Amino acid sequence: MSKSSPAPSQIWIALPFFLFGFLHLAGALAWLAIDPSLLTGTFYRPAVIAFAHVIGLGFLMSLVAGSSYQLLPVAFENPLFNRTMAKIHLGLHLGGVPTMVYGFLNWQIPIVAIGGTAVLGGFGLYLANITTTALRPLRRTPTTIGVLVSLASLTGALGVAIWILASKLGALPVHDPLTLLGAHTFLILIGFFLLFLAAVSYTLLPMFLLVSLPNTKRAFGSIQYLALGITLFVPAQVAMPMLLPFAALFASIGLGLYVAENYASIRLSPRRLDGALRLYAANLAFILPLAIGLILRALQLAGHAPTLALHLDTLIFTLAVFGTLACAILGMGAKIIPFLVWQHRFAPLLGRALVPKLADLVHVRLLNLLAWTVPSAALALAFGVAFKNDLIIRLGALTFIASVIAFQFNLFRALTHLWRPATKPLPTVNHCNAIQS
Amino acid sequence: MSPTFITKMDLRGLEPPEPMTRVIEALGTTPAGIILEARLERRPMFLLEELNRRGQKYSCMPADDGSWLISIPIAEPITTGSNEP
Repeated sequence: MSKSSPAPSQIWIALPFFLFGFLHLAGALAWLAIDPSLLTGTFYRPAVIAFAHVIGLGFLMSLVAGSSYQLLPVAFENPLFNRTMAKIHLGLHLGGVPTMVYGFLNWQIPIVAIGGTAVLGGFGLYLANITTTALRPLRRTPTTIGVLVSLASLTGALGVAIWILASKLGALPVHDPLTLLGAHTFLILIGFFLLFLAAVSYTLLPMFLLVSLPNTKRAFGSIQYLALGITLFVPAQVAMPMLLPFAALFASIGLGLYVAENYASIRLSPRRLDGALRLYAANLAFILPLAIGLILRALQLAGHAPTLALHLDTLIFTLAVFGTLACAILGMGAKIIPFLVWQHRFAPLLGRALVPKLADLVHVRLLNLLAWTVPSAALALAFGVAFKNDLIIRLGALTFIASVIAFQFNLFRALTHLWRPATKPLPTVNHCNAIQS
Repeated sequence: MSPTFITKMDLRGLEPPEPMTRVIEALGTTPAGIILEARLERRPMFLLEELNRRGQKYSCMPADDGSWLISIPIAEPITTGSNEP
């Protein structure tokens, strides 16, 4: 009898990443409620760069790393290559990110370099671990190929970050730091986070909706167009601005195909969306304004559109981070984390005790409410940025914080089962009586 | 003794972790000597992990229609009726 080698649960690596990430999201929103100028003022200043790294590294990267170690082995159908590398990455990330943020906030570049080295070391381990996992053996699914392309983009973004840091320390010359900063942000935001989201959604969404991927060709198409946009973007940004609109157009087509594929999965599903999946699905609504913003900004940079009072870079950042990525992450997090807890705590007890159902681990009505409040708060933030209105940004940030706290309450409710599992003994069956009757 | 009888379960269309729950519970109620064969939507990674943890033999392979078939020969019921893990 052949015995397959499945992916063991990585809950004790994934959970610290998740908790660290949600803590940074709440912290970033509180900071934004106190100082809305983080989204309305000049963006090339220490506080904004520190804020962007709280979001990018503290929130998004932590969630992506935790999800990667837990979910990608399942999606790749290969066991995680090396758990020790994942644990070392966790340590480097938890130590490096706050150090970097502190360094940026106080504009002490050597401290940024120390924190950055730790984070970079963690990234190196992450890239090697996930790439090797994907290649043993390589299954050519949209998820696997998409994740590998997103990792290539992350590598490019890290290369640009090292270039920026080296220029600050006087080790490398740089003609225009803002151009490099733009390339770094695009590669991270569109090339890594959004492409990673699209790739992973092609496994997770059909799994939760109980459908097959509606159109594999379209899913691959979204990955190819996004990859084309990313590949074209860096040379266009650095040397050939006339190519920028094409890069933005290709990336937008890729994002549009991602929306079409996710929407088709939802339409195919026999079941009604629950609160968590509705919150996830809300991310799709932010893609159209995001794509329009990308194309418009590229036309501006290429000199084909007038400069507006509207700060498109910040608006694109807000739509991508608080609209698309936050809705998708919180929605999927609300599905996945209780599942991991259930699987870790109750799967070993199946057949040996009465265990609760997965839905019993969370507060369903609270999730239904979050499906409205999170997208509304993200929309308020986008309007606040578009109209440079501090009050709307504060209201959006406060609503978002309340939603994140409610999300964390729900999460905590599920996590309590790790140390206090709600089980009951199985009813004793008298086998002799059962046979006689 | 080589198992002869097969109990088939079609678990497609069930949301995780319901397929795993049904298979593991069936392990405790299926008589020894029977092969439990379950058809699932996709490769059941978490179920396989749980079967490994329990030392349960199985084979898992893709079917022609894109679903996955897992076959589990039942040696003896694994449930004891106790609430001990």
